[in-house]
Amino acid sequence: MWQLIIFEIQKLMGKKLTLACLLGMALMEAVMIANYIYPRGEAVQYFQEGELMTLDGKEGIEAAQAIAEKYQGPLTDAKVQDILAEFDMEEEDMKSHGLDPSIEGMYTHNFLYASLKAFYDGKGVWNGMTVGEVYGELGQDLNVGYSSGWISMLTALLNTLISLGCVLIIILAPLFAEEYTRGTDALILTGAYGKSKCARAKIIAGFLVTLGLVEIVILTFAAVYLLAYGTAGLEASVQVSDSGAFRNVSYPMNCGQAVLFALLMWFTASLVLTAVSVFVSAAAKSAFNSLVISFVLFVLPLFINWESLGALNLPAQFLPIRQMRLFEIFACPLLHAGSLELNLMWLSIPLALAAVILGSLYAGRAFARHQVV
Amino acid sequence: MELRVEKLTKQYGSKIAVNRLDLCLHRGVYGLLGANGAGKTTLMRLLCDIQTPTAGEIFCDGQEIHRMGERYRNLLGYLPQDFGYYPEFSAFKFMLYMSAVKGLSRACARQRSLELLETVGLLEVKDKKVKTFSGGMKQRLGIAQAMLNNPEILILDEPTAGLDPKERVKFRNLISSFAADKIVLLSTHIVSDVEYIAGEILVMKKGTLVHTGRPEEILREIRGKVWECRVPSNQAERLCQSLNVGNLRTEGEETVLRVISDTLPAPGAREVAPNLEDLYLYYFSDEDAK
Repeated sequence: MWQLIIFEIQKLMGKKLTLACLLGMALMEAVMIANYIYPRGEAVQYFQEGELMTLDGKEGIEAAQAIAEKYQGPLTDAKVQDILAEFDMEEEDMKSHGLDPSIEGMYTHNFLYASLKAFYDGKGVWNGMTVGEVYGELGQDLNVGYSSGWISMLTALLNTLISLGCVLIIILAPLFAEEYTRGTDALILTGAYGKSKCARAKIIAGFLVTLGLVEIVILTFAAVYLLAYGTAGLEASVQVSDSGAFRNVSYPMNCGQAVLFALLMWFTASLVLTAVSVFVSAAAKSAFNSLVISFVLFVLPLFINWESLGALNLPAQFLPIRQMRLFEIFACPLLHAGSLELNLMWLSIPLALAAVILGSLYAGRAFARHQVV
Repeated sequence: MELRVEKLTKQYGSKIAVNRLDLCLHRGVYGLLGANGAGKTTLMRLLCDIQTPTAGEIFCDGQEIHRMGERYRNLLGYLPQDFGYYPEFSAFKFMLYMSAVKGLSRACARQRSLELLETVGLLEVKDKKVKTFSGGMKQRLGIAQAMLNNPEILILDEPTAGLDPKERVKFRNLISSFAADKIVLLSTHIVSDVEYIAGEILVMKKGTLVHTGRPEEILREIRGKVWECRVPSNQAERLCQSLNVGNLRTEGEETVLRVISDTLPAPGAREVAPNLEDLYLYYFSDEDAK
């Protein structure tokens, strides 16, 4: 069986198109890393004796982490005031450097000041809102910390993984369908293991390729980001970050939990994507049909206004591309059943398992019943 | 070993490819003759259980082949008419892959693949990618893969297509030596291939078997219907249009025609011994005209 699986992996990965896609992905990753982490990564701006100081790169990260350390802990109204006071820019200084003081809030002095946008107006003046008013009950559970590195890692990874989803479809679309197009179906299906073990080997190979590539991408990004940003800020709340992406999460979630949930979402979404692609590949008449159908199924949910569809929006959160994007599924409220609280994201595990089982079962059956023409 | 087909029918929409066909194959080489569209390939696919019959059943030693599943496929070797390959695989790797599909152990796969590649004359190029092979080389590789599991039932659809005369002779000898205690069914348009090695001929027309029998028996059917006549060359073209002419050669001012006809085709024509090509023309000349 392992021998067959290895052959199937070689067939999938040995194609020029696959290699070209993977090379393209690697280049894209390199460009993203170059653009988002090096040389900038983090910027801290302030005035010192009338001079505008901008720290970026490693210095910027160290400065931002020092700021985070200073204010680390629960987010309180007093802390908000302190942060606004400390990072407020003097009108004169701004004018002398050609900066418009009426939109001071637009200038990111540092990640922490930017995280508190909801507390000040365009001029950087406190708008009178309290933590309770901005965040509601959740405000009591929010923690300040260096969230910037983790949030940018998650954002960069989710964009890359969506691209990887497209690459996976290109790799997996021919899994079964190319045998039909190429005319090797007759050879395989007349072999003793053709309709049984070979079909299973193809399915397993498909999942192994997916898991392998997703893992490589995640590990690469994790390694690069950890090297650049370190591990600080795991306890920081995702809601208190300069990116607005996770501000709508309605329950306490720190960066450590966000990373774990993101991993869960990405792996389960990849499994569902693979299960669908494998099934489509077995049922389609040609590799091209398989590619088009799988691609449409993957990408189409991006173009639908799910909120207008009411009740359908909730189950549709588990569509692979929506799951991979994290924002919406993270923002779903917790489910309550009596005294029990359940995070919707955990449901992705049984759903992915069901998709894997059904996709594999029907793919195997479709291949075994395929009529050679 | 017995492969029995009962009332086998395969219909594609309104077209009937195989029509209530009955057949019983025992050990030996069977040559399947028929014009294009006669249903040969469909019959072979049905025998390989890669197409589902519309009606009828196929039994191997009394057991329905679809129910036998893996056990039946273990007995089977198949070379399709147009088969694909993996361009990124070398010939040896392709054989190893097919061995794995056929359930051979790793050690056995290596040994058997090397043996067969040598037999079909591809051992020296075993590490070359299949995409660099000529049509004949690919066909030889196809024949080799069909024999990997030493099958009890070998089904070959147009196995000699693309082979040069020398390779065809080699192939015929290979099949003859291989077929001693096996069922071999091969279809071909090259009638001489069948003539030399088939113990029995199956003639298929419009989805049914119109004749089965040993070559000499089947040729008896057209004895007295094959003629050779010498005509002036300027009349040859006119006669070719009105008669079923199998062969034509010019000798000086005259042309010698080999004619398949129920009656004397021309004055002075002499009866000659029929061969399988004459038989083919006798049954399928109207098909070709279509």
